[in-house]
Amino acid sequence: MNRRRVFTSVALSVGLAVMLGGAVLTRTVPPFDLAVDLAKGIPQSGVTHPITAVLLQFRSYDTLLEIAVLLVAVVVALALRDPQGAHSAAPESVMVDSVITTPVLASLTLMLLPLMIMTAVYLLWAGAFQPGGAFQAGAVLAALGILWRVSGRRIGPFATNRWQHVALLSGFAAFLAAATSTLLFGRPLLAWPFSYAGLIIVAIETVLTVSIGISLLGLFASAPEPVDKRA
Amino acid sequence: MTEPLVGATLLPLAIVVPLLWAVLTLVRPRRRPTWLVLPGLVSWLAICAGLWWQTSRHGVLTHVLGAWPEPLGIALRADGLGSTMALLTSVIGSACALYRLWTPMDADTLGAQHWFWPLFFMFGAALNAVWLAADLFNMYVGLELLGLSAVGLVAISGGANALAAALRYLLAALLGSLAYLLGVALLYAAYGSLALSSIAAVATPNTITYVALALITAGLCLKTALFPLHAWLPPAHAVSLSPVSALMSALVVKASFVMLLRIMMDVGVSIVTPSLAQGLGALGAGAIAWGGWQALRHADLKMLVAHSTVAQIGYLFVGMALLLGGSAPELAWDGLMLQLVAHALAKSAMFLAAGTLIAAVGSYRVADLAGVSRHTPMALFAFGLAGVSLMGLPPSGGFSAKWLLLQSALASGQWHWAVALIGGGALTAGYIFRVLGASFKQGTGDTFESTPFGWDVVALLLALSSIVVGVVATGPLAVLRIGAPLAGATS
Amino acid sequence: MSTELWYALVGVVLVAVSFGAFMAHTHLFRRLLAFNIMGTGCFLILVGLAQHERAPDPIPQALVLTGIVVAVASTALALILLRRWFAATGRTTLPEEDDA
Repeated sequence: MNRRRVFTSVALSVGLAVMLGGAVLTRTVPPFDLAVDLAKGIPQSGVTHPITAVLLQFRSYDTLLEIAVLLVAVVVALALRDPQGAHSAAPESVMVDSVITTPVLASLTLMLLPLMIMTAVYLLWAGAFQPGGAFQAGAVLAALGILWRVSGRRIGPFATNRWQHVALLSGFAAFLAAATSTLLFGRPLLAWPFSYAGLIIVAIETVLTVSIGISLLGLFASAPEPVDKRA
Repeated sequence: MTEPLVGATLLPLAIVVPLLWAVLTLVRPRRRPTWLVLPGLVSWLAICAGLWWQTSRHGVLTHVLGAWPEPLGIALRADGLGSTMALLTSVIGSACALYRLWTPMDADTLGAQHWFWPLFFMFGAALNAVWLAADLFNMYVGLELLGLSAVGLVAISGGANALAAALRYLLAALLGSLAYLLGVALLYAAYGSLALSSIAAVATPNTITYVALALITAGLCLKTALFPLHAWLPPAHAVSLSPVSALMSALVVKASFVMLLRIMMDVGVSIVTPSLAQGLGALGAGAIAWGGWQALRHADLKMLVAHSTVAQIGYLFVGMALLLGGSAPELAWDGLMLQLVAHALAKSAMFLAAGTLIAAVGSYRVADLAGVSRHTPMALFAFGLAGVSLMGLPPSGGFSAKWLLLQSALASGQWHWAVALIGGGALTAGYIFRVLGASFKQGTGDTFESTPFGWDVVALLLALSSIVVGVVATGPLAVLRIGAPLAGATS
Repeated sequence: MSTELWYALVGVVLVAVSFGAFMAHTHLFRRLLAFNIMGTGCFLILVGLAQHERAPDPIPQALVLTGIVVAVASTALALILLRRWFAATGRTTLPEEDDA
C-alpha cells in the first residue's frame, strides 16, 4: 500500500472520529420520547413484545421493504448463477473445496437437524412476547441448511426446484398480499384490524421464517464454484 | 368527500403495484413476458397519473400507514415534487420497458437476463418509495432497495466489465447509505423522532445536528455522484444495457438528490449555512466543467453520455445553492424542478437513441458512427433533440430550466453561477455536435444492422417530451410548487 | 458515563477505524469486511446514543434489526459479485487499483 494512500486514510479516519466523538458527547436529551407512545400503543398492537410490535405493527412498512431488499439480493444471486448461459456440469453442486468430509460433521449435522428445526419454531413462536421472531428463526434455518451443504449433502437444484422457488417467493408475497388486503377494506395499507392483528402477525411471521431461511441459504449457495487460479 | 380518499389510496398503490408485478414476474422468469409486463406498465402509469392529478387538485396528500400516526408510525406524503417524480418514473420506466420488450433476443442470450423484469419492477417500486417518503429511516430502506436493484440490473448486463462496474457501484452505494444511516442515527439520538416534519419543527443548530447533516450530505452526494465523488457513475452507466443506463441516469441519481433537497429544506432550514450551499454549488460547477470536458474527450459514445450526466448533475447543485443561499428561491425552485424533469426525459432519450446507434453500427466508438445519419435518421434525430434540451436551447425544457436558474442567479447578484450555467451550455454543445458531426460524415460503405422501429419511436417520444415540457411549463411548475417548503407556496 | 454512552463511543471508534481501512485497502474482500464493521459501529451508535440517559427504547433496537438484514443482503450480494469477478478475471481488486 503506498504511503500517500495510508496517510490520507488515517487522516480521514481521525477526522471522522473527532467529528463523531464530538457529536456523541454533546448530545442532549431529545424532545420526543417515542417509547412513551409505544407503551400506550402496545395493547392495541396484538403482540406484547415491543420490538415485534415495532417491526410488524408500527413500522411494518420498513419490514416490507426490507424483505424486498433480501428478495432482490437473492434474485441477483440467481441471475448471476450461470453467467455463461451454458449449463455447466453441475450448476448446483456443492462447492468443492467447502465440503468438510469428516464423519463427525456428517453425523452431527444429522443429529442437529431436528434440534435446529425445533429451535427455529420456538424462536418464531416466542417472538410474540420475548426476543425472537421471523428473522432469528429464519437465520437458524439457514444455518441448518448451510451445515447440511457443507457436510456434503445436496439440497437439490436451487430455483429450478418448484417448491424451493415457491418458498422463496411466498414470504414476501404473503406479506404483500396481507398488506394490500387492508386497502380493500377501506383501511390504510398495513393497518391490521385489531381483533385479528395478533393472528395476522403470527401467520406472516411463519411464512417469512421459511422464506428468509431459504433466501439466506440461497445467497450462500449461489456463490460460483471455485476455478483454477489462472490469470 | 370520497375524492381525497381515492388520492390517499393511490399513494400506497404506487408502491404496492410495482412490488406485486415484481413478484408476478418472478414466478416464472422469462425473457419476454410481454403479456404479463404490459398490464403492469399500464396500471403503474394510470396510478401515477391519477396521483399527480389528485395532488394538483387537492394539494399535499398523506397516507398514514398502519393507521399509526407519526412520529410513532410512518406516513407517505405526496407533494408536488413527489407525485411529479412518480409520474416521471412511470413514464420513463414504461418507455425503457417497451425498449426492452422490443429488443431482439436470440436463443443464446445470457441466462442472467431472464431476471431483468423482477429487478425492473423492484427498481420502480423503490423509486416510488423514495419519492413518496416522509420518514428518515424509511428513506434509507427505500434507497437500499433502489441501490441493490440498480446494481443487479448493471450486473446482469453481462461480461466482466459489467461485474467490475457493478462492484464499484455497490461499494459506493453502500458507503453512501452507511454515511446517511449514521446521520439518521445521530438525528434520532438528538431529537427522538424519525419523521421529517417533526424534526423540522424542533431542529436546533447544535454540534450533533451539524455532524448529522454533514454525514447525510456526504452520503447522499456520493450517491448522486457529485464531483469529485463521481468516479463510480460513468463505468456503471456506460456498460449497462441501454434501458438500464437510461433509467439510472434519468432517475436513480435524482432520488438521492431529492432526498438531500428535502432534508436540507426541512430539517436543515435553520441550520444550513450559506457557505455550505455555496460550497455545494462550487462542486456543482466543478462537475459541469469536468463532466463536459471528459465528454469532449471520450471515444466511447456511452461514456460520453454518462459524463454528460455527471455534468448535468452539477446544474442540480448550482440550483440548490441558489435555492438555499440566494435571494430568489422561488425562481430557483422552479428552475431546479424543471431541470430535474427535463434532464430525466432528455437523458433517457439520449441513452436509448445511443443504444440504437450502437446496435446499428456495431461499435461503441463515436468515430465509427460515420454514415449512420442515412441509416437510422430517427434515432439520430432523437439524440439531437435530446441534445437541444441538454444544451439549453429554446424552446426546450432544458432552456426554461436554465433560464429560470439564470434569472435567480442574477436576482441574487451571484454572477458566478450565471457563468457556470452558460459555460456548461457551451461545453454541452461541444460534445453534442461532436456526435452529430461524426454521424453525418460519409460512411465507408460499412454494413449497418437493422434496429427495431419501436426503439426509434420510444426515444423520439421521450426527446419530444423534453422539448414540450419547456413549452407548457407553467402547468407542471404550478403542481411542483405544491407543498414546497418555500415562503408563500401553496400546500 | 453510562453503559449506553460507552457503546456509542465504541461504535465511533469502530466506524472511524473501519472507514480508514475501507479507504486504505484495495483488496475487495477487505473493503467489504471494513464496510461490515462500519455497519456494526453505526448500529452501536444508533442503539447506544438513543438510549443514553433515557429509558430503554425499542425503536432503535428494531431499526438495528432491519439494518442488519439489509446489511446481510448487501454483503451477500457484494460477495457474490466479488466471487464472480474473481472467477472471471482472477483478480481481487478493481481494475484501476491494480497498478497502485
